Amino acid sequence: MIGKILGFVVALLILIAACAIFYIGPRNVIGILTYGRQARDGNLQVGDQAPPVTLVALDGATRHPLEEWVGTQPLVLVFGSFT
Amino acid sequence: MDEIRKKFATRAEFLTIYIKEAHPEDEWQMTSNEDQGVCYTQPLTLEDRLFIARDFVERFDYAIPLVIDPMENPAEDAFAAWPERLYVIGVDGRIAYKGEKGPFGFDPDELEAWLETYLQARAGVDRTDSREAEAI
Repeated sequence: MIGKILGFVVALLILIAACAIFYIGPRNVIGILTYGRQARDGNLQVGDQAPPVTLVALDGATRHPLEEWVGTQPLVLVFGSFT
Repeated sequence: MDEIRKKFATRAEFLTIYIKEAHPEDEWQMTSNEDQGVCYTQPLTLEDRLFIARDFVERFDYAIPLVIDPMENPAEDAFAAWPERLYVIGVDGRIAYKGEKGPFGFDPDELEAWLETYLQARAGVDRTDSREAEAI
């Protein structure tokens, strides 16, 4: 009896997992497992000094420290990519 | 985001930092990107990253100033910004707002509400400072 219940539970879990993979999409499941951990909370906290990074202008020729934009007004940073 | 930038244009600066691709076709390609013809491999050179960033700016007529994270990804690394994220840096150079990590934590509406409160409070402080300066 216990074996049958266990078998049913395992079958149910496999079915749920299969439905989840189908719903999310196999490619996205692989993507989440492979690349998802690149999304991190990070150690920066509100109140910390902004990291002193240097960035490249869209012309590709000039570089600018982030501090150039800091100081006159609050600076909203939008991080992202095309894809 | 541009609507928010326009709303706060006189009270805040906006800067986009273009980081490494979130869904290049040689890593984690998304069906939505395929549907829209946004298919790039992960750039291996700065020129490649610049090429995609320029395409992005041109295709969307993107108005927010945009700079590129170098290939060593220093900004992405320092701000834990992949795949997308929002921050605000105060005039003192300190982090004033840290949005949750994207994509699900990328919340322009939350930023807009936060900016509204923050900038109003800041304006109040500025007015107080002006009155105190006048009194002196």
